[in-house]
Amino acid sequence: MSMALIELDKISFAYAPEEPPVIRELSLAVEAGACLALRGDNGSGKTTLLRILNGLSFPQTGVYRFDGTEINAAWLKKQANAKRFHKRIGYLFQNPDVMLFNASVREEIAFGPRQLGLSEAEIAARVGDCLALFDLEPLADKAPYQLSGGQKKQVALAAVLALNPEVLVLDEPLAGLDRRTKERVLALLTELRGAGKTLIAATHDDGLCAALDAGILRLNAP
Amino acid sequence: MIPAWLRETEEVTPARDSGAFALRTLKSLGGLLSRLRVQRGSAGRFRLPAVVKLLLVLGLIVTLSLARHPILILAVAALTLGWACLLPARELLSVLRPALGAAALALLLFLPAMLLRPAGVGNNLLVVGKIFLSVTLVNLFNRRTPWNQITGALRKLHVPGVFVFVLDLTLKYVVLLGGLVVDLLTARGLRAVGRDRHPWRSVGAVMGQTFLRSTALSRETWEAMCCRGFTEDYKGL
Repeated sequence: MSMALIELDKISFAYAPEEPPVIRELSLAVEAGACLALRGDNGSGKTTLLRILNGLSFPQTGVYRFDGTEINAAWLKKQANAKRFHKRIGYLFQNPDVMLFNASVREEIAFGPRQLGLSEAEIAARVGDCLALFDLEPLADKAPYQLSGGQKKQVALAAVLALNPEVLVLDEPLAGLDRRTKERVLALLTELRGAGKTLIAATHDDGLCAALDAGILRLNAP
Repeated sequence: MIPAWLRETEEVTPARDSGAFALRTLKSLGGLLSRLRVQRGSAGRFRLPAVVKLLLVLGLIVTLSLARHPILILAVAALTLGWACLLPARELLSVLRPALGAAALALLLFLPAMLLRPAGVGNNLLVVGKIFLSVTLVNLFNRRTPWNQITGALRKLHVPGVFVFVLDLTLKYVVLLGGLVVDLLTARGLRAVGRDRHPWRSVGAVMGQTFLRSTALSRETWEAMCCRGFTEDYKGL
């Protein structure tokens, strides 16, 4: 039996002690290469769960294990652990605005690879590949701030992909995209899945679940 | 067609990043600002109207500043501590901590004067005590009064609407932009998986983005207000 890459064991999470938990005793196992779609109404805890998976929030009860290692605040406090973990799991935020802080699209995509210590030639090649994936070459020298919502989303996804994470955690990856771009992103995600990447996406989009043949986890609002 | 490197799994040994001090400082500052959002200002056990509380706090602070007789200062201290005792222990700590910090800072500033002129030590300690009590009073008021009630109270006291409006918007933007700084730095942190050779560049970029966002937000808010019939006469609660 293969060990799950991501394992949640009866986790509960509440934003304040006096509030009802957003996530209550949730158990889940995701194997490497699997695809999981999180469905549910607004406020049902989809983004909260994604934050927990990325080590940005921690459950008050229960255990989260990534590749057999328990992920908690104490473990992530060690810089080396946090960096190794974040290299393996990439997170696309729901609002791409919060992900883009560099002076140009090219710099934005190069940020991750540059920190990996790649050579300038490798960085340039990787940035070129990521730009090409989304046909972003004409925007390469523009400031991310000047882009439209859909373009920002693509730049943010390209910036995450540039790190080549094993797991892609995507918060509403298709929201705000036009039909043509949506199709391109879906085709890319399908290809990434074929390449063995693990995909976890919070989505309201039926097309995404169908195209990726994703397992569905339905969350209910408290 | 995805590139070959995206099909491979990369092993990374992260380098130690020692230049992140500025980023951590910026993040904690942003967190501090965005925490204002969760300031619920519950009314507590005794529900005094905000305007009464505001007048009471202002009156006590003015009394404290003018008072020279220890009995008067002790009376204000007793009132303040009595009010503070109504808070739960955890809240009490968050009220007293900044007050103690302010008093410690004042003490530090007075230290040379106290060493050079021992005769004035009593007066210096009196000022330190007054600072502690004033900050405690402001914190207590802030803890126990929701922000919208504070602006409502200011209007009832005939403070010019434009002043209240600017105050209100300032707080909202401080919260929004504080949250934005935290989010930007969190997103950056998730991609900072190696050694950032130019951490100050990231600090500059985050601050620049925050400035651009604040400009856009203020313009959009103004336009949205105009579309909803705002005529530069602010009407609070």
